[in-house]
Amino acid sequence: MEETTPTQHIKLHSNCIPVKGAMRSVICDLQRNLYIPVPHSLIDLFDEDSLLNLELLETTLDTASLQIFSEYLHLLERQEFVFHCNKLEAKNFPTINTEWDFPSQATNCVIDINQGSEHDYTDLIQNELDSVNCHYVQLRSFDAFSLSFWDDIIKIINGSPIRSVDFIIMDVSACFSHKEISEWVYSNRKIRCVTLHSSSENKIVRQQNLGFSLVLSVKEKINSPISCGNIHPSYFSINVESFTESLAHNTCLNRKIAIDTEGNIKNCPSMAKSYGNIRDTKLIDVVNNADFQKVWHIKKDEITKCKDCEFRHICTDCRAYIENPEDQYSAPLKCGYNPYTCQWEEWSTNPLKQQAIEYYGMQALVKDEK
Amino acid sequence: MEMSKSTILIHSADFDASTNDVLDWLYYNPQSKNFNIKRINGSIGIDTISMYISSSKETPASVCSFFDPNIKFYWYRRGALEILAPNKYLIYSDNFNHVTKSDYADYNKFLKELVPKGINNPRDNEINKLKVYVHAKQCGLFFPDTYILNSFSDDFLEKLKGKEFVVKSLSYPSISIHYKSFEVDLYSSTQLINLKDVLKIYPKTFLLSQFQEYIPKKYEIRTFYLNGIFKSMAIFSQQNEQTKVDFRNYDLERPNRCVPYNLPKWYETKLHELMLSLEINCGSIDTIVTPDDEFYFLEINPIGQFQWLSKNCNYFIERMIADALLH
Ligand code: SF4
Repeated sequence: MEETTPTQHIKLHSNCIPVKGAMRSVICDLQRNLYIPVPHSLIDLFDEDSLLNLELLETTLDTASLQIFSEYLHLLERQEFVFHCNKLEAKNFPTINTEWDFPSQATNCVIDINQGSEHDYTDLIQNELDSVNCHYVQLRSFDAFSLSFWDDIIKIINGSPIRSVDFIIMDVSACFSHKEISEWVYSNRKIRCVTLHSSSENKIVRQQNLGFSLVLSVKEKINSPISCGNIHPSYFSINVESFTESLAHNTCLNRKIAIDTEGNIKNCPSMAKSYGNIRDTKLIDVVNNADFQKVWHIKKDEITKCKDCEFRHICTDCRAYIENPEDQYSAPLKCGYNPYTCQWEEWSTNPLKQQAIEYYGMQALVKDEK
Repeated sequence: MEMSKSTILIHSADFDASTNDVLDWLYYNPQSKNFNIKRINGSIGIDTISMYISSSKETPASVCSFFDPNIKFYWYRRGALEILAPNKYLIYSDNFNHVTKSDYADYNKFLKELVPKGINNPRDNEINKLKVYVHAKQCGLFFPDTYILNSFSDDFLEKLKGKEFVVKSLSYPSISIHYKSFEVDLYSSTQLINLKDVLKIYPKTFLLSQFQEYIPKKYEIRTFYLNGIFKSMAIFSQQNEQTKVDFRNYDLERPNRCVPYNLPKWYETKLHELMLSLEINCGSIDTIVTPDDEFYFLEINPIGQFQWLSKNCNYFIERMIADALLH
């Protein structure tokens, strides 16, 4: 309908950020939550202001290269990674602010539970978590509990400032039916997801609604924290918050707090070091402890292999199970990606990882998965 | 011991997510310990009040049960503020109600001049589009030709020739109706009309509506404004047929590209002047950038939604507001 003024430049949108790996780059679309691999040579055509002069390009590239470029241009336009503009108006489009911040001393808390656990849920949820402004909780149980046990906990959560909660609980038909658990989830609206482990089949028991109320059952047995820490594209988190967090922090442990089955306060339930027990230690003191915060700052840019990986700013991390347990900057053990060949391989059969697998006592787990 | 602390009063509504987000930042800031933070949801009815003015005082003041002198900061976000007629005096006669209502209305209006300082004021809700444009004109801003009509004037029909206009309801674009056992929320989005559409209705009258010249756009700019600070975002709604006229016709599958944007300084200066002249210290401002790089000012929403803008551009607007409340 209306004419557009001729423009000779294209500019990458500031939320479509190229990340270079050893062999290739990916463009991370932080708004639409997707990524697309592209060759380095394409990214190199853009200048430091993410601008590319199309007219100039036509005079510098040979015909064959131009043909390839036009296909990529088509892709960039279809994905709306770029917009056409003139050099002057491009100045009005700044880069996106890369600061990460969050209004909580602890953004999320994992609480592990087994038959032997003696957690005081009322004190933990109402006082302790509130003292660190923690609004997201994951409760994970390795043994069977009745629905009334979970119901007592959710009642405390319902009356607290906690915004959302995930449950990972054992599926035992003697304790509750899928229908009962679905109804329970529906009537407690802070529940984001319930994962029933040790189940007879993998299925969606209840569909999610606006990101809440999802119930899944999985065959996998989760009877210890050892099954955590998998790295897989399906766990990639492609958004502004995770991306900016990854630039300065560890994407798994930053501002995270964990309470293991015995009440020990840790960075992660799978990690050995305890900073005290919730019986006699305040969460706020642990969170403010500089030693506790150390792992928060291990960035992907410092981790072996990950620093050469194009997925480093959308990938999760794991510091509990790493390739070389002696070196806290070594890559996550359960990552099968090779950024030097751009191939995903099975991590558990990799001969170079066998030593670490033995170190963590994962031989049985690894066999189960196969 | 609580006496010495000053109060931050937040006037909002149940389930207002942005208020919750700002409160998170507020509590996260150690300085919040020095304040009483009070949030009220919904309408505030004031039962006892005295407003006074004296020739020895510069400005009028009020003493009321609600605004205690400890309130250092009042953030108005949602809900009404009005003086209640005590129950025992309520006489259910139409005439009497009419008299008290208009008396009260005057002073309810005046009361808003007397509320504690802060961010926004309940009177900001009362701004009227044409008044805003009168001020915008004085500030030298461009805006689309605008008509408020309940019937089509000859003048308007003349103007419409060969052009398209955008029709909009005047106020909140949604109404609730009861249909059988359902309650239906009707939401009217912005629509394009031309002379042919108008002639179908002409010469009937209709509810007062806004008709605005359609301005071709390269992108739209949504700005959050707070005391002279501008946080802007460009919305590439033009690429998408669904959102060409009104970006609220969301496309969930493929949301419009939204990126941080800096308005040119000359334009910000004019907008700032406009906000000062309207005495509104916080709000959302909509602008259109045309294919010829012209800037058209569209509207101000004094109590705007900023969550979307804040998230997309990583602006931390919620933290900005919390900081403003504490300073
Ligand atoms: S190499 Fe590192 S960043 Fe890349 S996929 Fe594996 S864990 Fe993630």
